[in-house]
Amino acid sequence: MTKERRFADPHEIEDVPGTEGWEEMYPYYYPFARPHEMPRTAEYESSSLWFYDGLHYPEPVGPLDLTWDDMWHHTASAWVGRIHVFPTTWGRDHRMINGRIYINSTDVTDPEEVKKRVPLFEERVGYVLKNWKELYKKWEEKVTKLIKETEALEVPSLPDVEPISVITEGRWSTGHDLLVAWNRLMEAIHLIWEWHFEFNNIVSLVNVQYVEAVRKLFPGITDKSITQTLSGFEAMLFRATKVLVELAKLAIELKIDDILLSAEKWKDVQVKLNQHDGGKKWLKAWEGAQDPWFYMSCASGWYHTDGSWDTDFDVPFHHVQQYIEMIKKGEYIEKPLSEVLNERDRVTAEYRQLIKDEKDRKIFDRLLEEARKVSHYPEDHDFYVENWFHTVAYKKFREFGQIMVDHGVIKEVDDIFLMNRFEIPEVLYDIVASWYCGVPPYGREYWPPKIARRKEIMERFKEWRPPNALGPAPDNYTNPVMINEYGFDNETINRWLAAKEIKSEEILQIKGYAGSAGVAEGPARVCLSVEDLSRIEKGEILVAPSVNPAWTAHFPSVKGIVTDIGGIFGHAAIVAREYKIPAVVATGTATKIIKTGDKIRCDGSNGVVHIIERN
Amino acid sequence: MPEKWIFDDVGVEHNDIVGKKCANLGEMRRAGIPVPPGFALSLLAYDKFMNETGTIEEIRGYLKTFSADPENPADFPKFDKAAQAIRDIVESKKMPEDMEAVITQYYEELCRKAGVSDFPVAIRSAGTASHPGQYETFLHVSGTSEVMKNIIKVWSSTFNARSLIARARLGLPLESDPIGVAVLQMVNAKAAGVMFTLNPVNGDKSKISIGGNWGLGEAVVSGVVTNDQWLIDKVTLEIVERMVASKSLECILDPESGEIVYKDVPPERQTKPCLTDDELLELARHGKSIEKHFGMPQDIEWVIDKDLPFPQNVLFVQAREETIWSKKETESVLDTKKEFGEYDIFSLVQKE
Repeated sequence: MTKERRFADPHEIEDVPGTEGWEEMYPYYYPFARPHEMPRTAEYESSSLWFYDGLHYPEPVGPLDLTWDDMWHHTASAWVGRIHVFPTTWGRDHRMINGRIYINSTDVTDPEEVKKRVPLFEERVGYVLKNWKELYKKWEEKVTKLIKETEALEVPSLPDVEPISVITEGRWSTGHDLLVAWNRLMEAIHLIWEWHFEFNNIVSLVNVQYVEAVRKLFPGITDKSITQTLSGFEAMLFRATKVLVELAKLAIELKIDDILLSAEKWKDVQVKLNQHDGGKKWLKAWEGAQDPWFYMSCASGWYHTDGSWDTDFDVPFHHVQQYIEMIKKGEYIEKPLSEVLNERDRVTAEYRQLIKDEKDRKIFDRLLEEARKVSHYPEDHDFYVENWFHTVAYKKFREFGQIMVDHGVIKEVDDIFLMNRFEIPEVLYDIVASWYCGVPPYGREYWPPKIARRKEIMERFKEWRPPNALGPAPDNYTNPVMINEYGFDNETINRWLAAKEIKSEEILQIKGYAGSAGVAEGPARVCLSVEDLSRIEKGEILVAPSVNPAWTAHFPSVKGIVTDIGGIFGHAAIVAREYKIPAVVATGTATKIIKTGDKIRCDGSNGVVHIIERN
Repeated sequence: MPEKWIFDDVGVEHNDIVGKKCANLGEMRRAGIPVPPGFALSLLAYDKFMNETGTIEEIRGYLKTFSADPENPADFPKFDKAAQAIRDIVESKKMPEDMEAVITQYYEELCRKAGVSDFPVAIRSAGTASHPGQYETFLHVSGTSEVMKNIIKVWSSTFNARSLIARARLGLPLESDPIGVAVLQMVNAKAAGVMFTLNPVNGDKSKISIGGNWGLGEAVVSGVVTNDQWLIDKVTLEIVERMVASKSLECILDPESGEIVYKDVPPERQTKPCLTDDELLELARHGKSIEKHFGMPQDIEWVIDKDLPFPQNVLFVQAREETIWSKKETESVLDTKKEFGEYDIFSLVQKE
C-alpha cells in the first residue's frame, strides 16, 4: 500500500497562540477559508498544492506590505494566463496563513483548451522575442516616466481654510485632492506591477530552456560557466554597486579616503567632508549619484522596514568604506567589459566546439541567442520595480502616514503599514469628513488599539516556522516558472516529503542546488529577518530563508550562503557567484535544521550542506 | 646499413616501428609536453633478440605439442602452463652482445643526463595496437645488467597467459608478438595517477577527470586503493568536484629490498589531497594540449616528482586514446519539443 503523497492540509494549520482574529488585518480573500463556512472554497484549497513563498517573504507580511503581493497575485496571472496565454497555466493563486504567503500555480487541465491556447502563445511570445529590443526600450521609458510621476505626486495637507482660488477658479476642496492622491498612488502601483510582468515569465522560459539544454549537452557544467556564456551586460542592479565603487575610487583620488574611513556614521563624516575642498567635491559626486541609484532598497524592497539607501545613508556609506578598503588592499579587481566579452566568447566557443551533433548545435546557437538577448531583464526589472519604484512608494505611504499622525489617527508614521490598502481610503475619508465638520476623526479612538493589537500579532507571527508546502504532492511537477524562480521541482518536493519524517537534530546533511561553486566551512549564522543580518560576524556562513541582492553589504563578510528557497537563477545564486561565495540554494529546510553556531560545510559545487558539529 | 632497432626520438610515424606507447611519448615530447627522458626499442629489437638467441625455435618446438581451446575456461590452466614454460625459455636467455653494447650506451647517456650512475628507469611495454594491461611494465630498474634482464622480461610478457589466450582467440600465431619497449628515467614520485580528458562516468567531453594517490601510479591503475578524484571543467579550468579519499596504502620503492611495494600511508597524509590545486590545473592544461595534439580524448598517466620544483615536477609517462566514449557515434541529445512541449522556445522562434 502506498501512502498518499501529501503535505499538511492548509485548514489544519493552527493560529499562532495570541494571534487569534489576525485575519481581519488583511483583505477578506487572503486567509484560507473556514471549511464549515465556505465548503466549496475550502475544497478547492485542500485539493491544491500550495508553496510557501519564502523567496519573496522570509518574514511575516504586514497589511500594507501585502499590497505588493496582491499586485502580482493579479498581474503575474494576467500576463501568464490571459495575455501571453501560456498553454497550460492560468496563473498563481495566493493565500495567507499566519502572515505568510502561499502560492498555488493554477493549471489549464482541459487538453482541448490547451490546444487552442498554443497558437496564441506562440504568436505572442514570438512577437516579444522578435521585437525584444524595441519593446524593452519602450518599457524602460514608460516605467521611468511612471516612477517620476509617482515621485512628483503631491499628498496635500488639509488647510485651515481653503484658498480663495478654489472659488475664483471653480475648483474643489483639498480633501478631494487627498483622496485622489491615494487613488493615483494605487493606480501607479498597479500599473508598475502590470509592466513588471510584461516580460518576466517569458524571460524565465527562455532561461530555463537554455540552461536545461546546456546541462543536457554538458552534464555537470557549473552554473558559473552557464552564467558566463550569458555575461557581458551591465545589469541596473549591479550598476548601483558600481556607482559606489566609483565614489570609493574618487575618494582615494581626492585623498579623502582617510576621512571617509574615520567615522562609523554618515552624519559624522559629512561635517568633516564639508571642511575640506576635496571633501566638498566628493560630496557633490555623492549627491549626484543619488538619483536614481540611491533608490536601492537595503534589502529586497518587499518590506517597508527594509529601508533604502536614500533614507539610510549609512548603508551606501558603509559600502563605500568597504570598497575603499578593498581597493587599497588590491582586492577589488575590475574587469573591463571588453575582457568580460572576450572571455565569454572564448568559453562559449570552446563549449560549442564540444557539441558534435549538427542539430544540437543549431538548438544551442538559437537558445543562446535568445537567452543573451533577454538575460539582463531579471536584474534590470528588479532595480526599476522592487527598488526604485517601491522606494518611491514607501515615501508616499509615509506621507499619507504623516497626514494620519497630524490628525491623531495613528501615533507614528509607520503605523500606517499596519493598515491594509483598502482600509486606508476609509481612514482618509474619515479624516477628510471630520476635518471639514470641525470634529476629531472617528478613527482617533478606533485605530490606536487596533494598531497596537496588530503590532502584537506581527511580533507573534515571527515565531512561526511556515511549512514549505501544503496539500497534495503531485507525482510529476513540471511548472517551468516555479522551477526556474523558486527551485520547486520533483526533487525538491520529494526531499521535503522525506524531511517531514526525520527529527531535525538527526540530520547531518542537507541537499539543495549548487548555486555558486566552491566549498566553505565555518559557523552558521541563521538569519530569519533583516535585523538578524546585523549580527553576522566575519567568516560565518549565512543561512537564510532566501537572500536578496541588496543584502550585498554583508557579502564580503560571509564565507558561504545557504538558503531554503531559490533557483540557480534566483538572486541569491546570481549574487553569490558575482561575489565568488559558495552557495547552496533551495534546501527547503536549512533554517529549520541548522542552528546559529553549528559548524557547517557549504559545498556549493555539489549542492550539499554538511553539519559537522552541532553547537 | 642494418635497420634501426633503437631510437631516442620518435613520433606517430613510428607507431608500427616502436609501438604506440613509445610513439605517443615521443610525440608528446615534440609537442612540448614534459616527458621523462628515455629511449625506445623497436619491434625489430624483439625479433632480433628472439632470432639471434634461438628463442623463437625453442618456442616453436614447445608449441608443436600444445593444444587448447581459448573459448573454454576449463582449458585456461593449459595456457597458464604454456605461459610459464615459454616465459622460462625467454627469460633464460641473455641479451646478444651487440644489442647489450648499444643499449648500455643509451642507458649510460640517460644516467649522464641525470648526473647519477645506475640511474633507475621504468621499462614499459608498447604494443602496436593499444592493448591496455596486456603486457607488463617494470619500475625502478637500475644498473646495466638489471636493465637487460627487465627488457627481456617485458618481451617475455608477450607470452603471459592472457596474451596467449587473446592471440589464440584472434587466430594469431602464438609463437611471437613483437612489441616495442620504452626505457624512461624513473620519476621519484610524490604522487601519481591517471587523467582522462573527458568524464569517464558519463562521457561528458567538457570535463577532465583526474585520479591520484601518493607514490607511484600503480596504486591508482590497479584499483587496489580508493584514490583522490577530481573533476575539472575543460573550458574554464575550474575544479568542479573534489573527492579526497582516505588513502591508506601507497605504492613505493622499498629502499631495503629495492622492490616496489604497497606501504601504509602515515595517518597525517592519508586524508590530505595528493595534489595541490596548482598541480591539478597544470595537469589539466597539459591534458588539454595532449588532447588537442592527438585530436581525440586521451587516457593519460602522470607523475609528480618529489624533488623538482613546480611546475617542472609535473610529468607525463603515457597517453593513449580514450576508447570507450570517444568511439561512440555522436548523436543528438537535445529534443526540445519532447522536453518542453507547448513551451518549446526553439520551435517557436524557428517559425518566425
